[in-house]
Amino acid sequence: MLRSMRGTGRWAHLLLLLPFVGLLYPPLYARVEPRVSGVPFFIWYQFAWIAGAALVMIVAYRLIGDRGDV
Amino acid sequence: MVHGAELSVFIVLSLLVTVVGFGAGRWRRAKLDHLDEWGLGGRKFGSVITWFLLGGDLYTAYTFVAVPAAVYATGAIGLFAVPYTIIVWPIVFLVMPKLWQVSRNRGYVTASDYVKDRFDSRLLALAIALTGIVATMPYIALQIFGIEVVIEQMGVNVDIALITAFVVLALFTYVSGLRAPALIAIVKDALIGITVLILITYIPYRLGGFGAIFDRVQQVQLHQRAKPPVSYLTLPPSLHAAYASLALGSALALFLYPHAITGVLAAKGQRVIRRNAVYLIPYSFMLGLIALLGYMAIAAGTRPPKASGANGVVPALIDTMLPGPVAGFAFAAIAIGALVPASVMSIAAANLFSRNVYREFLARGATHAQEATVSKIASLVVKFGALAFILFVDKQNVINFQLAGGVLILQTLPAVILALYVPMLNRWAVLAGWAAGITTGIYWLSAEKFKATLHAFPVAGPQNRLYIALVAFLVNLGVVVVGSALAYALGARRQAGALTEADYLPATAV
Repeated sequence: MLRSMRGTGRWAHLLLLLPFVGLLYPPLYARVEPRVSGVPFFIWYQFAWIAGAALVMIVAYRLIGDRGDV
Repeated sequence: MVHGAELSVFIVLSLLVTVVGFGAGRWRRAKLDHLDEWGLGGRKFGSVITWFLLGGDLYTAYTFVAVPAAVYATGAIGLFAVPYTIIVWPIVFLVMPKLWQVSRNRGYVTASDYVKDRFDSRLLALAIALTGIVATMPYIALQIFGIEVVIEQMGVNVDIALITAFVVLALFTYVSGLRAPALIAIVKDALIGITVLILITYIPYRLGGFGAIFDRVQQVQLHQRAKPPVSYLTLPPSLHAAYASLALGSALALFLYPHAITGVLAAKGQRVIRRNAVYLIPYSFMLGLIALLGYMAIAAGTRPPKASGANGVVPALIDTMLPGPVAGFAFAAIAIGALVPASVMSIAAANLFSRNVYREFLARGATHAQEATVSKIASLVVKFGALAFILFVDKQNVINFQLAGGVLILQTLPAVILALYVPMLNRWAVLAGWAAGITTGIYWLSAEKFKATLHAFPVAGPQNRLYIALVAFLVNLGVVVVGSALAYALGARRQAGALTEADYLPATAV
């Protein structure tokens, strides 16, 4: 809406959906094996998404920039 | 029994925070008799202060107590706080800069200020403001509860300690406004950071490493007598839907809370908010580590004191595992961690009252100074209301009220967030949706006797329970969409209220 349609890299917002897909469908990761140094997959997979979400936002930030165009 | 070493460290650190709180009013000094200054710190907070303020504000002491307690008592489903606090940041990244910009341009202090102009409706703004106040009160009470469980563990008279803590909190908030929690948040984060580092290395070391911890949890799982058995290491299929709906519903609700919006509006630019959405994610890592304390407590065979229930498990674990002064340090970190959100919450609720109830309905044309004074007094009322709440109402009820608060606050999403993007929203449809969401939400909560946030909805299958707040929000959304479409069909066109497109754009747009 508004000025946003003119913004380049607007598609970059779609990147932000990745953490939702990765975390809101538990059948993807609700299992114990494989463990990493004793920690069940269920736990370390979700911890890994902390870095994943940060990465996704950093890329989106680079593409969108500081403009107020959302 | 009073634990002397713990207590001395605890008291010294509490005194330090008191000094910081009162001194904060002098920092970047301004006239604190204006609501922008007292209630939003002058909208001047840069990336660093915003990081501390939002982090200290959102990852509350109660979270640190309750998340591991949930893992300890209910197993893997208690970990939903991890996905919840991850996906909240992309939402903030996307949505909050826009709310910040329109608020900056138009001088809004609360979300209701925006709703009033956007829908040209004092009634809708009042509904949103009251929802915010009602949802915040038990949240403040829970912060006191967070202090209470650590004091209980140290063997001190709980009532006297709580009242002292709250008089201090009330006074420095009154004097310094939002600057106080912003500065205390820095102290708090240092304390919490050190505490987490100690807990997450020393306790696994004592217990023989994470491998040994999860092996022992597995043994507990195999030999438990609970019916149905608790699943610790992963989520059983019957809880998949519950887990996802809790994470999504909580993430959508978090930034509708007045204290979260206050933290956002106090930033000095859109850029500060976007950057913080990235920088604040390490807090989620810390929260995840803290959640693991629940597993450590199971492995260590920790038993919480009867008075606190499962919520006392982290203080009990700290008490048994760490030497006295270190435990005192950890307890102080948790208690001081409660003061930051309690202070911001009371400021946010007070701003809602002074702006959207007092000036709008009780004293039209009140001056800025009157408005700020009413806000300061309201912040006192809110805090002592919450204190009375915790002293006189049963603990379990306080927790239940807070769960209900989450259901209520999510119903403000169409008016506050959707309104930023969808010009077609009709004010009556949004009001009807709000009412429908709140009514159905409370109905389903009452079906669970207000003791649970999950409810078995026939639509999702007999086994699958879902987060009530999210389902009530879907009802709300349905009413908003159908109602707005109807209004549009009947000839009501775009309702931008008093706002134009320029109001959403940066003033210095290049």
